[in-house]
Amino acid sequence: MRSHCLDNSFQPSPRGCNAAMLSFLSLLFFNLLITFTAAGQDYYERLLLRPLPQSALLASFNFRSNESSASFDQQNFRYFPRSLGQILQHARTKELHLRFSLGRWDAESWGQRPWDGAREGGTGVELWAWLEAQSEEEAFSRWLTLTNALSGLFCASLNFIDATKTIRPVMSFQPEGDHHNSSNLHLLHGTLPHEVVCTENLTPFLKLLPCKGKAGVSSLLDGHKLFDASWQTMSIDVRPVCGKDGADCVLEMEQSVDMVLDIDRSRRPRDNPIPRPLPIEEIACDTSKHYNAEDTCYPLHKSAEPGWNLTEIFGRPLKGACPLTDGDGEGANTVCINTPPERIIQANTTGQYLETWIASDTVRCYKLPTGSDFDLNLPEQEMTTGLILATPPLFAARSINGHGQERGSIQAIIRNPSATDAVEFVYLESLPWFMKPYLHTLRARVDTTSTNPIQETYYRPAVDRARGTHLELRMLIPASSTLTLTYDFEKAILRYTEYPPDANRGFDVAPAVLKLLSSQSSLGDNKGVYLRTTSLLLPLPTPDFSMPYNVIILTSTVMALGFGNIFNLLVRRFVGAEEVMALGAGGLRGVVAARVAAMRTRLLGR
Amino acid sequence: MASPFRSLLTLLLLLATCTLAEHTSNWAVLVSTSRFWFNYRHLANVLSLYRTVKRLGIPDSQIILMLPDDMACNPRNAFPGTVYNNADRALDLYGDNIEVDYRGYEVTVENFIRLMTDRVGEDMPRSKRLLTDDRSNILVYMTGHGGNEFLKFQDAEEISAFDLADAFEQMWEKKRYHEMLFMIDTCQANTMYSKFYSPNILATGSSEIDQSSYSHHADNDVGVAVIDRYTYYNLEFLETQVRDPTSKLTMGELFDSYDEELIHSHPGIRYDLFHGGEQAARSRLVMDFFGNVQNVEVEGGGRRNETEWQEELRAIEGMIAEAKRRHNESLHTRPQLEHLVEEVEAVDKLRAQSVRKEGAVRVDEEQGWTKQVVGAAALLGCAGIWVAGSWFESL
Amino acid sequence: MRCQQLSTPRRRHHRKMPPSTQVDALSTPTRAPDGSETAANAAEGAPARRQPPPESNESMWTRRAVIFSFWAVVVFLGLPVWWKTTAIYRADLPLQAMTDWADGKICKPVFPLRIAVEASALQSPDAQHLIRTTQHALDDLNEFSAHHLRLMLADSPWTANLSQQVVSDGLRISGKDEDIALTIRLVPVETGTTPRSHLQQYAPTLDVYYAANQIPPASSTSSPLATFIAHELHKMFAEEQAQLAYLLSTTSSAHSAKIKSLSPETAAELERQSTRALKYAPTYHLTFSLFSPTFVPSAWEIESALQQYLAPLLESFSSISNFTVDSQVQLYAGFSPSIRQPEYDETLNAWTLRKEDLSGFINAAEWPLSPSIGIGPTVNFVLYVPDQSQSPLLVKENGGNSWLIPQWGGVLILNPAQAANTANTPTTLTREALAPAMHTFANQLLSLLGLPQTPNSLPLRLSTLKRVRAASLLFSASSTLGALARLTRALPSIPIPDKVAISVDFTTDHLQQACNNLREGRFQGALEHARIAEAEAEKAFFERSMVGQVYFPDEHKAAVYLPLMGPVAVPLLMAALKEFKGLSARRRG
Repeated sequence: MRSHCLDNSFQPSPRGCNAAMLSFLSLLFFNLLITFTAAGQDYYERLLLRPLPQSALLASFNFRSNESSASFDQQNFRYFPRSLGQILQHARTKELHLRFSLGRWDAESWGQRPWDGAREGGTGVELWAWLEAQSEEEAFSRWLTLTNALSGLFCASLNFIDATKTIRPVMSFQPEGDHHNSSNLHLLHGTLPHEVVCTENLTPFLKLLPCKGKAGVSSLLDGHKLFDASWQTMSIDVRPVCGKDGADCVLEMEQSVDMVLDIDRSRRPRDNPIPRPLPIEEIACDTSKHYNAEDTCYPLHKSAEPGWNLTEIFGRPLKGACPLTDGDGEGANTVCINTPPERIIQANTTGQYLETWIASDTVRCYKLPTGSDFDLNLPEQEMTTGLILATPPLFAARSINGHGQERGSIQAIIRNPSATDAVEFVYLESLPWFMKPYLHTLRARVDTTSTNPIQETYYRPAVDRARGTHLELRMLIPASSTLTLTYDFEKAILRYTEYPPDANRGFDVAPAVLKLLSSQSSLGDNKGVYLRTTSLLLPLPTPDFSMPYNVIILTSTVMALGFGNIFNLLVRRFVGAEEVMALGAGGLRGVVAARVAAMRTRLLGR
Repeated sequence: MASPFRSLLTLLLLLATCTLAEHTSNWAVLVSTSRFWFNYRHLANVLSLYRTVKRLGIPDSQIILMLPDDMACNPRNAFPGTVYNNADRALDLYGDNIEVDYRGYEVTVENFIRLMTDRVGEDMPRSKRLLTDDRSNILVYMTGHGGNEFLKFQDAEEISAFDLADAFEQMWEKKRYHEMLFMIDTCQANTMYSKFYSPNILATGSSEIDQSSYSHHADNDVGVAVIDRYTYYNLEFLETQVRDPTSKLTMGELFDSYDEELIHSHPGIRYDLFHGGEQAARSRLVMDFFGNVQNVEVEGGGRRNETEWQEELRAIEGMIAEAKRRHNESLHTRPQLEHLVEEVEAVDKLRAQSVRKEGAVRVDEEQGWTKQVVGAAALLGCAGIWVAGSWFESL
Repeated sequence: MRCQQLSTPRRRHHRKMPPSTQVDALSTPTRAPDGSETAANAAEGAPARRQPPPESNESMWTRRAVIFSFWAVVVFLGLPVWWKTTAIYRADLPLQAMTDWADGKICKPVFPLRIAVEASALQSPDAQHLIRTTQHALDDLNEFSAHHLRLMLADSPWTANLSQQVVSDGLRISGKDEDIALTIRLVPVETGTTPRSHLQQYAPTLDVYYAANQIPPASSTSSPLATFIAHELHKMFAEEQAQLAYLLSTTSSAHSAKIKSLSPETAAELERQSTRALKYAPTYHLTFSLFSPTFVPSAWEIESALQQYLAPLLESFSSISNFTVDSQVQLYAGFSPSIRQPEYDETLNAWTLRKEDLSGFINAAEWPLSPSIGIGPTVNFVLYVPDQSQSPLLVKENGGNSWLIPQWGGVLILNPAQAANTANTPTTLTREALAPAMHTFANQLLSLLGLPQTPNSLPLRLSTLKRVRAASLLFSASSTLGALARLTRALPSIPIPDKVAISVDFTTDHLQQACNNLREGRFQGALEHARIAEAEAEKAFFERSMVGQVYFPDEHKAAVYLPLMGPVAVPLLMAALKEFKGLSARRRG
């Protein structure tokens, strides 16, 4: 018990220990909770709320809609959105994964990632898909078709995913669906770390849902809060799911939105989001300290859990259930909240709702009323127990070192917190072509042992303006030790026209993807356990765009000078100084003088 | 007479009443050309127009919105997910339902010209194309930083009045528009349309040559100016006067509403390209450009003879079966498309032969000293040759 | 100031000079101030100044060689490179031919329709005579020269009783000659009013019943039967003629002479049709969407409905266009909020929408109607099931529940009450419930495809449509060529790759073939060729690389070139001039 608490050194408050055992159970269940959904039912949705330390709240939405592959092929769409379905058919895409992400998951304080990281992407936009094609060229052309079509559908510049941003991962991704009846599948992967994610991406995302934003938990999704979150990721996953015997296949589309909201921040009114300091009499001061003036105060840190309710957190009410979900059974519990049992939760609604306590009371699920608003209200409360957050299997951080405009080096630090078992994982880097790594400088060190942790290396060097670098490493990191991976790279100089309008901002480098091989996903499915570092900002040498004409003039002047000198040296005839006039070549001065003298003589001659 | 055709006739009779609109679709191309936070107002201009035309019924699929930068989710934006065009912050322009077609680095002069002339790649999605024909009215609105006969895109490149004129001429030659309203809000805006030479373009700009066009006011919480004057007063007219799609206000009234005292510059209007000249142009409805005039043909709820229709369908089926049979007998020319399909398949078959894998290859680290030894040997060899050479020389 | 100082010693110096030696002295400003040497020279009288050594020939030649080689480099290397790098590649197009196509100078489309007459009951001379007279009557009636009907005697004798006409005829016509537009079958009868005619609905066959005594005798030049047949035919093809005439008049100015025949109301009617009908495309995408403001009905038996009610129709069009069909269900998708909400009407006891609001009915902001991929037009058919509280929902003016949106598609409000006789909306719409909707959609589709209303025989109307489409494609392809030609002339800054030239040639020869096919009355072939020509012309015009460089004013060019070219060019020129001067001087002296 005790020791268990000590492992979780990042745990918010020692009070949590009292509830450790019980909440640990709860976590197991929490994970199970996410997964179990029968592929049979046509539509399924769930919102899982989970208070995190430092008054953060994890809200993970999950929507799942099925279409029988028969009617999909006939282009008769019911729950599956037609717009996306047509694209998939047009590009012969069998399995699709699309991610829009923003912000950073603070693993140190928030612990294990939702979905074990399988439903999140790197900062910006990330896309990978399995396409059916006869040859690589065909696969790539279909890939371009896919990215262009998606760029139109999701209002993102996905069409910028060209050959230089596309890689073909070897070990990092495995298909989630059942692809018995399709051959020649090609996996392609592309990222846009610079892409901003905003409301225009959420709009089409919501339009794909059968209940749109009109009913069900999706009615909570509001761009103003979603893009104000400290971390958020939208994901779309399409995969074929077949029965045991490979028959009666359905095409399953899973959409999920995971976000970490700062409760205090998102409770601010929308018209006046700028925080103003409280009047001093409203602040609870630390009376143990000595003040020598009335107007000073050392604010006391609030230990109480903040009070909140859905409406103010999400900026809009939850408009009842989406009637397409089946009315009873687990699928009906569409809103679940994972808190200690002692937390007071009041459900406000005019309609019929049902509350069920599961996972030894650490998870409360609600069956929503149809047609009437629903709200959960959690008052401010002094907690005596807390939940223990599961430790993530790995911590990873990556940074650019070095100085100067010519070279740099990348350093990735990966820590294995587990005291007992080693972790084997795949480390995937997809670098832009203008960042050229030197593979011979690749070093991986583990602080505890001297053995080389790199088991296997897949590498594809970059070609200028044609393709980027693709580096994939399978590594083994022993228990409770830290792995440091470094390599040097060279910065290329771009052509004048290749610089973006804001070149001085720097160029984004896609996050590295870590896939854990050893530890099986706690969700018990084939999604895998993933981890992504943050994206990097790479400063490249940039010219001064403001004065191309000055540059032209300067260079031409220099060239002209050189040319003139050489030319004159070659064509001039050289004579002694006093021989000059003999040639009658006094130059301009001579001529003028001659004229003057002629006039004088004429005058004097008279 | 069989029933579909009868009901068609009834339909025609009803048609006789309905009036005929000269254009059948409306399109809008709304372009902001400036990047960076301090140009917030230019995006606000464009988004205001976007809201207006959408309110007046132009569907998103027929609005091409070009936003070079992201203001709503900009870290500097104190109001995440929103863009306001007024300090009172009454209306959130970004709202919940917005579709941006070209954004970020996609907003370039080349893309704009390609959009106009529809010279795009074959993969370009429909939502990013201007699929107009000779019955489409187009509203082109541009705003940004400009000068005499040019407009800057993202502070990196310019489009000149000549390019614009040529692009429009190509559109006219290919019958890609019926009538066009060109609005531009930038410094020396009127010079931008001075070079147009294609017919049926009605052009208006915010300021004369050597005149700046000014911003209207700033929002201190947003921290920058939120809208330009010319656009502001256009919107004021559109929002207050043109309430619903049935409005009958004319362009003339819109132009008359311009007040140089308020706008602080001299808005220009160019009529001469428009067929019918000034008074024809002024008599055009505002809705002809800012709204979507869809002319519907109501059909009578008249009784339909289902059974008759059914047997008719059956008869058609019979006819088709007959045709098929004939087709099989005689060498009938088949529709072109099927041929194409077949060819494609053939190509696929050909491709199938040459499957080539590309991607990362496995790299194994060098173990042992082989390479070092080889290198050392090579060095020694060279040294030896040199020594030998010098020795022979010394002989 | 300074110049004075400079000039003073010289003046002093000159004063000492004797006039004779002015010139020499003048050119020696830098002499030592003491005039001794000069004095000496003056005393000697003969001026002995230090001559430079005479320039040796080879040095002169080397100098010239140097200058020449510089010039050679400039002329033979610099200029070509500059030219090459700044030139814009423009493949040469047959501009004149293209313009001629656009002006309709090359192809004047004509529509000769063959009409077979089966008069097995008559002797061949009588039949010949009858046909001749009928032909005369026809030619008198016809005022649209481009479109004329040619009667001919069907050779093979007709043996089939009236019970199996359709089948037998269908067979024979195709087997013999599929370009026969219509078959007239002369059937002698004793009873009933004669002559009378009956047009078969599903075969291009006109049965004419006549009494034996109505056969014109060989002597007479006209007969009631002939004139009757002539009028029948003329009536039958009146609409087609009108359509073609209208097409010719609108598309190209060259043909405008021929449209005297069109009355204004016909013209208006045709105008309306052309406004409604979609542009021709080899493939149309049909999208059937079910919209509901609530969550019911969430399913419909669309597959079987389409299969039963629509497939035959589409099949019959397959010789003209292909179709792809898809369907979707959209819940929580109410109609556009911008229009006035429906109000309740006691007389109809239904909720009613006003006609002027219908145009705003489509909720374009929320309904996902625009296709994301695929070329070719999309025809939308919207089935809207109103909320239970607002049902039934009708159009105020005429109590109808469906309307057509030109060049877009059709809308039908399916009121649940009439869908199923239950109180509340069913969750699933059965095939039977969809039948009326499908019926309406079928009619709307026909009119959207521009199928003419007369004559009342589907094959005939299809072949009419075929001709009209072929002609319109011909015109649009030609006008595209013309536009391309004009642009090529107008915009010299646009590069023109060879691909364009190739497609243009392709287009022109397919246009030619289409034209020939028309002339010979092979309309299916004409359509095929015109379709290819149109596609190629579009490809040529919208060639991706044909985007001109951004305009770059000449003064800017000068500003960029001058800093380098100026300083380099001046010495080159001066040197060259000097050499030439020297040459000419040496020639003279």
